[in-house]
Amino acid sequence: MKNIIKKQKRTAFIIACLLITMGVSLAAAQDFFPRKWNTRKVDLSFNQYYDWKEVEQALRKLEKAYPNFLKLRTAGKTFQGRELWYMTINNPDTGAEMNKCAMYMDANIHGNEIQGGEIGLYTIWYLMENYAYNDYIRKLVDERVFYIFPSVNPDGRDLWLHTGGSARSGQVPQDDDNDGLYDEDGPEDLDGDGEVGAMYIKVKPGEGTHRLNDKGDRLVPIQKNIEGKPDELGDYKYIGSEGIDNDDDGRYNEDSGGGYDPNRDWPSYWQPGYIQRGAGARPFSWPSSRHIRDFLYAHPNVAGLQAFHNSGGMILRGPGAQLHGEYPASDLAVYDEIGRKGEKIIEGYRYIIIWDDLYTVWGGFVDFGHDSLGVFSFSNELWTSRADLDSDGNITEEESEFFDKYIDMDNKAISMHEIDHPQLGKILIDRDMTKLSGRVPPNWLLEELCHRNMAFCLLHAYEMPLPVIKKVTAEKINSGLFRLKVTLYNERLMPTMSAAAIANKVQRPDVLSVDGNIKVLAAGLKPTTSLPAGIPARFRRFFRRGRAGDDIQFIEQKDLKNLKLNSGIPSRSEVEYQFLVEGKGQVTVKLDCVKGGMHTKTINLK
Amino acid sequence: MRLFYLNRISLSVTKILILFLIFLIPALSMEAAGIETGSEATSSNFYHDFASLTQVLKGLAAQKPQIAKLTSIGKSLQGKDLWMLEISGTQGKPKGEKQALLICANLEGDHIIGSEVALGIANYLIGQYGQDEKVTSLLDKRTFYIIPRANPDGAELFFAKIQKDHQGNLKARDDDYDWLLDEDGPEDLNQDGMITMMRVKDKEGEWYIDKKDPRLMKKKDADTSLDSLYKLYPEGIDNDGDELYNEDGAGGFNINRNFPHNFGYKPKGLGVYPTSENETVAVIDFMTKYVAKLKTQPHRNICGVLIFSKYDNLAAGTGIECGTPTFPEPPQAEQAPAAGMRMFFRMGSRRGAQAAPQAPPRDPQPKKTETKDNPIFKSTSDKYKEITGIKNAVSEKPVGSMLEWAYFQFGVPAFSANLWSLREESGQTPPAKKRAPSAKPDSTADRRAMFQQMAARAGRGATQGQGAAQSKSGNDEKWLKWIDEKNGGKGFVNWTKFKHKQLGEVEIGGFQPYLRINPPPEKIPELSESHAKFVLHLAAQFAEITMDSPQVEKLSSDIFQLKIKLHNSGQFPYSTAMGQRTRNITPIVLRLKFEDDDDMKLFGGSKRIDLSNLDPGAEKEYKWIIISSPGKKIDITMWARNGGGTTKKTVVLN
Repeated sequence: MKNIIKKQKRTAFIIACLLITMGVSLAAAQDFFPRKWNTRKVDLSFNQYYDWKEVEQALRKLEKAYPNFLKLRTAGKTFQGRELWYMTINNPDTGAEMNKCAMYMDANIHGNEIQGGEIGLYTIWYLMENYAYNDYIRKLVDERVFYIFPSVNPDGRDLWLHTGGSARSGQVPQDDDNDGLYDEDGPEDLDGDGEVGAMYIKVKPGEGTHRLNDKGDRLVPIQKNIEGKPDELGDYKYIGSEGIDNDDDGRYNEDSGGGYDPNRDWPSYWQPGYIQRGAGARPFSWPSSRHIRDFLYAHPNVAGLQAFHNSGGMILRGPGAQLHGEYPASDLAVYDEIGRKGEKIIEGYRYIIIWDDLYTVWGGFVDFGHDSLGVFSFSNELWTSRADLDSDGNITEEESEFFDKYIDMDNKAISMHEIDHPQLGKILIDRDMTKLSGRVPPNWLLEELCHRNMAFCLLHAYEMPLPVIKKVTAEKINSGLFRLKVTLYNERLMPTMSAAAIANKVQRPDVLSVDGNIKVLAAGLKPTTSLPAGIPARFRRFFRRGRAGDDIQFIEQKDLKNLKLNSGIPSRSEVEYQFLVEGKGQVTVKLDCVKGGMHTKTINLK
Repeated sequence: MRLFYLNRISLSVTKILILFLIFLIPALSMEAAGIETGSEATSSNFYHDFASLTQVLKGLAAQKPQIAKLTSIGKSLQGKDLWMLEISGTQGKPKGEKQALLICANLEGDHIIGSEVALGIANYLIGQYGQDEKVTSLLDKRTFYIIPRANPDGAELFFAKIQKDHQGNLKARDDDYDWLLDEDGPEDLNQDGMITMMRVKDKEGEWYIDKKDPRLMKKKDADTSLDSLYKLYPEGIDNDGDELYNEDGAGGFNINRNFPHNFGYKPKGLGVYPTSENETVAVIDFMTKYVAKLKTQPHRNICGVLIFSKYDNLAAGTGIECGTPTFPEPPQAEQAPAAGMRMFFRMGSRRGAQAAPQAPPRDPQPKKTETKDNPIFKSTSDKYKEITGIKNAVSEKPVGSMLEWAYFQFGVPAFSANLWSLREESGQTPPAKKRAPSAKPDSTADRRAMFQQMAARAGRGATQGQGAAQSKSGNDEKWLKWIDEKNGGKGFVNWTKFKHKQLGEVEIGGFQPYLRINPPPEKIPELSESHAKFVLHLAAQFAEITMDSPQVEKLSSDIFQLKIKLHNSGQFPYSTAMGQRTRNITPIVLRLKFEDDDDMKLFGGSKRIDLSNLDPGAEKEYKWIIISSPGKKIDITMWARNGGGTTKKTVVLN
């Protein structure tokens, strides 16, 4: 038995050595792990929502279970002092973080749009739990880095989960009602059900705005001015949302937490509040967006960006405003391919443009990603109703009622109840929906939402650039003169530099260097001789196969030993650079990509 | 030769002593002996570097701590404090409630004169409080926030050993997009302490020597002979060997182009966006930020902004008209090598083929003063000319400036004075409109020309406007005339031969840096005094909202009528039309509070009234009918954030 182990070890060692010399990643030498029906290292459930404390606990649990891959860090503090936790997923055995393309995922910038946070948790959990068993997941985790922010507005998240009401905003106080006091009158959850309902008070018939419905279990607005019908007499008056008049001004909850839109705070085509509702006094008005900005500037390896919102079932791409102009064709090719596949991955979602198909957004986050970082950025509006029971693309009222009653078990309403209000006395609380209906999925559909949206992100992450030096060859011209041919290859959809990054000058060009005891006399790019993979076979014959032979385009740059590849390495392509080199001996060829890392190969010129 | 007029001071022991003599001794002796100090004693006639400026500001705050307080509103990139001096009299409302005027200067690094005048104004206000009746009563009603040097890093270059015009701060910047920062700055080749220009004979050049005045360079035209052509470069060598001279000098982003209104979203590289600079953030945050400790935005009492910068809307026309920023153009030549065919296929795709929108996109930002606000600008401008005697000035249209942000977004009347542009003294004409460089130069030569132009225009590394100096407007002749006749011939470095290691035989010469932006220091006291007087006028104009004694009339045994009248006794409306449009000016809020809500009822109407504006001289009456038993009290609160703060009154229903 011992012998066998020894033997195995030795073979493993030899294989490993062989693999290293062949330049193949060690990850290929995975052992086989049997996977049982109940194999699960971290027990997390995805049919529930997590508040920020619980998110932190879940993240710590995951980090503890997979310490080699996961690092929990904070990007800074929110206004109310919560940490902006983010998880880094990186396999250090396959390279350093900055040497790989990274996928950035965040969620919940609008405090009430919470379910993206669960997608973040699910993604970490899923990638880790499946790493050992699933080749595709292993490849992704080994090739890529993930930065996952479960929530970039935890202040809003907690407010929404604990109290309810409208918590779209961040929580830097604003004077919503122009009385010189800031956030002095927010809602209160008086009955302790975690919801902010509506308050009604009993009045004399005719003085109210609402009446009991025929069944007597709900308040409905009274009908007025209907021809041939007398006006209904309301005997309940709507007071406001649930809470106390904290500032004693006769109005209820008129100045609640915050009062701005953190997703109108980004500096690409930013506009002031009177043009873009929700903007602050300047771009980056709020602490959380500043932390995210600093994080992104410090991580130029981020090549894919995803933000989660709700709701409506959309895969959104920029531009947010028509004034931007449409993206250049080569960027659109990337967006379109990922977006359209996304429509198939996430059932019922549409891939659309923000300004054209939704509404104009000035200063939104994905525009910042695309314009100011040159990164391909999507924003998903999560959750769309699943009540289309006959699959005709239309949800009728009947279908909706059927879904609520027979599938969701009438989970979506708060039953009407009476409470003692400290200022108003006896009042009725009523609301025809809970916060867990409408914009977030019912709990039992949450896991599916998490999985499909994660799958979309994984596609995005997979298609980030993966540049390599495919081969280096040398052709001897005479004793001290060589033609050095370097073939670079990017297997994936995204080019190493987006057209936006090139046009806006926001990404350092990739650099191809040759180093050694040599002098580079000239450098050039060989026009491509192969057609890109995306062209269907039936069209390929229409294209010239490029110019043959050694015809190259000279590159006019000062430092030919360190060529700047101003357009990067294109999508799914092979490009050949040639150097006319004088000298001999060991030459190191180095490719340094901001998005795609550092790669070297050596060749001996003799 | 080196310093033609600038008595620049930097902080050495002797200089501290001088400062001490100038500021502290008069102050101390004045307090001790009650000696009156005139304004001439408090204005300095030299330019202050950062250390001496700090010293002076501290001295001013120490002189009358009861009315002046010095705080730092932020730090420049190099860690210099952005000082803000708050001045407000001891009487009247709390200083945070008084209507405030913000004075901000030296946003552009080379506009040092703004700093000096702001300092002079501070000096005047503090010195005259308790002396001059007008100043005293105004300071008891108003607060002044003075930020004398918003760009201390850039300004410090004025005091450097080698002078070169520099508008921006000192953030490293990749001007020529080669991903190297600040790698090719200018050099003082002839060691005269100044960066000027180099001219070199070149058949491909664009300039020739003026026949009338050989100091001047003129732009070539069709019949200029090739042999007489010259190329112009900023003084220096090509440090990075790219055949461009000084195209990427010591960094810098101009703070007065960094504000988020009408910002030029031209591709500028990573990390450049409206308010990307510390200094811009500090100024905006000072005006708008919520301070958790105070539970408020403490400086929203700012009712007007006066800026000293290169833009002018006081002597050069009135109102604010935005210039044209550039917008990103789609990338063209930069196609990836193999992407061509792929793109061909994508053309027909669903999104790519989407029909072009019918209506051209519109920039939603307002670019011109609201018509209703014109009188504010007109009357202030007229008064400015009258008080200062400055009848005209030269100004470009602003782009991304503080002036635009303060009016179009913060919503208050905003003014800017450029203080020095030769004006009537030499009859300068406005510069011809400059055209933006064409977007995509296709040849290397064009590219070079573009960067060279950019270097000249940006004044970065090179000499600001000096290249442009030789423009067709004829200003250069006038400046030379001014130099010869009014400045004793000082201000132009005559062309002298120099052996350049890369260009060969060149001549170095041209206008001295800073000359056309900052006046000779003798002018500082005069400018300070006239502008201090203008500031007194401007601050006195702000809206003043008052509430008459409420009138109670008994209509019946338990029915009362309450009448309240509001007045604006100031000269400006409570809110500009722009302020109402931006909704950034808090409305006047009138609130009633009943002693006993159960017993007292309003017969219709509301206990709170919001009034977004009250024009100067206008009054507004409000009436309530209250059903209540007699003898009950009503507390009335009027809050006018930009019109004098809170007024409280109590009436008894009788």
